Amino acid sequence: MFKNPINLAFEKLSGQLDEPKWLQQKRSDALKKFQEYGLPTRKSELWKYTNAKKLEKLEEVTDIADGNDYFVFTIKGELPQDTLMQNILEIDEKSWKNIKTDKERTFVELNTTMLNGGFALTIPKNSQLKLHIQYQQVSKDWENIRTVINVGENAELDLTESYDYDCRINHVSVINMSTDSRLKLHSNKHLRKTAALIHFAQINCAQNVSIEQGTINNNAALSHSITEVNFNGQHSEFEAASVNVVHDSCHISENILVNHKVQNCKSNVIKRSLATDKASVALNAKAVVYKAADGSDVAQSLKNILLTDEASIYSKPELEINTDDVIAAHGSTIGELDETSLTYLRSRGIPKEQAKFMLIESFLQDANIFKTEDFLDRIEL
Amino acid sequence: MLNIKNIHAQVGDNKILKGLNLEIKPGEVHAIMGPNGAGKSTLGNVLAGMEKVEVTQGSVDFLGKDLLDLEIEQRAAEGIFLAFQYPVEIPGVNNMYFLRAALNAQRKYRGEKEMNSSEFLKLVRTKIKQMNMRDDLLRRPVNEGFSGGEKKRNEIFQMSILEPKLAILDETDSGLDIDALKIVADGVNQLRDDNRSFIVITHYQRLLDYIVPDYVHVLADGKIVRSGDKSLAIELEKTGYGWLED
Ligand SMILES: Nc1ncnc2c1ncn2[C@@H]1O[C@H](COP(=O)(O)OP(=O)(O)O)[C@@H](O)[C@H]1O
Ligand SMILES: [Mg+2]
Repeated sequence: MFKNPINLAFEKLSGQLDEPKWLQQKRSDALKKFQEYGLPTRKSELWKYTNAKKLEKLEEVTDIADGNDYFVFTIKGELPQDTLMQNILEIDEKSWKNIKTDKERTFVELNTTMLNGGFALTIPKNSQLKLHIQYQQVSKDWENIRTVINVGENAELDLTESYDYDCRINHVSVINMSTDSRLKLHSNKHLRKTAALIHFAQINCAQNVSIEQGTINNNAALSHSITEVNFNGQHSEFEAASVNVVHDSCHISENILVNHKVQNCKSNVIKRSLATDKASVALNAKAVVYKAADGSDVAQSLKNILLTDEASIYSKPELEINTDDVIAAHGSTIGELDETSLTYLRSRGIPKEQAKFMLIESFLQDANIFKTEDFLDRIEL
Repeated sequence: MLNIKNIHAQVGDNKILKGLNLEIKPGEVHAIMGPNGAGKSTLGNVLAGMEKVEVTQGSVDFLGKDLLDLEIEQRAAEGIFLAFQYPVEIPGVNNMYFLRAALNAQRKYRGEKEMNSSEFLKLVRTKIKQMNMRDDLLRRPVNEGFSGGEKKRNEIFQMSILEPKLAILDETDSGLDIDALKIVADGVNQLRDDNRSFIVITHYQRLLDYIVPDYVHVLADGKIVRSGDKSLAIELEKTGYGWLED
């Protein structure tokens, strides 16, 4: 994935691919940047508790999807007329969106350098779409995938994203929400204990946008995500609830940055994490309220449970508020299962392990944003 | 049914029960009274198996079994029920779900068939009526946002569903108005039969007007210092516990 191999891979890629000059240029610019940044180290805030070196020592992929498709689309219901779908390697330069990177976001540059595939999807205004996208592992190497989704004015998208169980995916996704559009985003990152997923997501909101996101992060040797939400128009709302459950020596790092750039937007970030064995979780939830962004409403709730002495969780909620008229609430707790509750359940005849399980279930249910019945069935506890 | 012999128990270094003896036969109701801090709740905790209490000496035989040898949940399944002085709130765990899990865990332990949800619902409906419980409480998380009185009634409701052989009520009457008190007493009286016994821990003889005990004991400084019948409770109401000082 890194320095030397990458030069080779890149030269090979650029020699073989029949693609526009501008894209080749993007690749080589990105490579320069990636080499300048290097691998993230513990000096980077968003990688402080994540050992990026683990990515160099991953076990081999055992499960490869048939065919060469990086993703499988399943459309539920009807596909709105005028829906536009393009191969990311065939879009025009204007449609390419440069993402501002830094040392923390070095893998975004690597993604551009090595880009294998992806799409740009545009959903027309006033339409509705329900879609499931499965990101597939088609080789033994890292799959570098870039996706762009544009949700038109007053359109509604219900999107479920999931990843192959044994993946090595570096995913960069951009979602652009037009005025009055709505998004329900279900992210299922239920991974094998040897899998690795690096995900950078940017969500840009115009005016009066509503987004609900429910994420399940379950295991992986290393799963690292950075989500950036930008409120560019007023009266938009973003509510995200995620569950992180790790076993063995798995590691999940989930980082979210919400930029309240304009007035009267609302964000609510809920995280419920559970670590057992020697597993670890690292969480950063940051909201920045810009100087003129009066009337912002910001909430963060991070609750964490450690089930063993060797498990570890780092959890940091952070508010940076540069104006006066703001409603803000944040909290973070790390603890064990409540002993008093456990005893109470047992005193009614419920065996200890079952009682623990009941308390864990109820803890995680806080993050069941879509109130789905099978929520817990989808998590390996 | 229950035979407590020379129990010594402590929490940390704090010795609380200091040689307590008590025998209870099937069908009997024993009231335990005594000053604050005497060790009444600790006695309940020893019987129910709370882990923070350490028994250093003595034995407890319950229906032929060495009770002290059993885990909390095993004791419950063997038929011990403790109505807590301070019931615990468990956010996120639904009352009905909890109760069915408890009942089925106990039935499983005893080798009985587990109840499916419709059988359970039927059982709950009858009990709710008998107990005058508000059924919306059952759809809420365990004790969450319940008033003090509602929590106590929920304990009794749980008892009526689980049908223990020995129920220990730890100040279930405190903080209840007279109507709630009657409901609690009713719940107990409905369960009273020749095989089921009760230990009723209380400060006030008021409750004993409704749940008439066979025996009344005074627990002070970790021991039972006096035993009598219901008239002892009436006497205590008049004299208080000042005489213990002598
Ligand atoms: N968990 C505990 N930790 C420390 N001390 C305790 C604990 N539980 C009870 N005690 C002490 O033990 C003594 C007896 O308490 P308790 O059994 O609750 O009395 P009662 O129920 O008769 O009022 C008191 O002095 C009390 O402070
Ligand atoms: Mg007490």
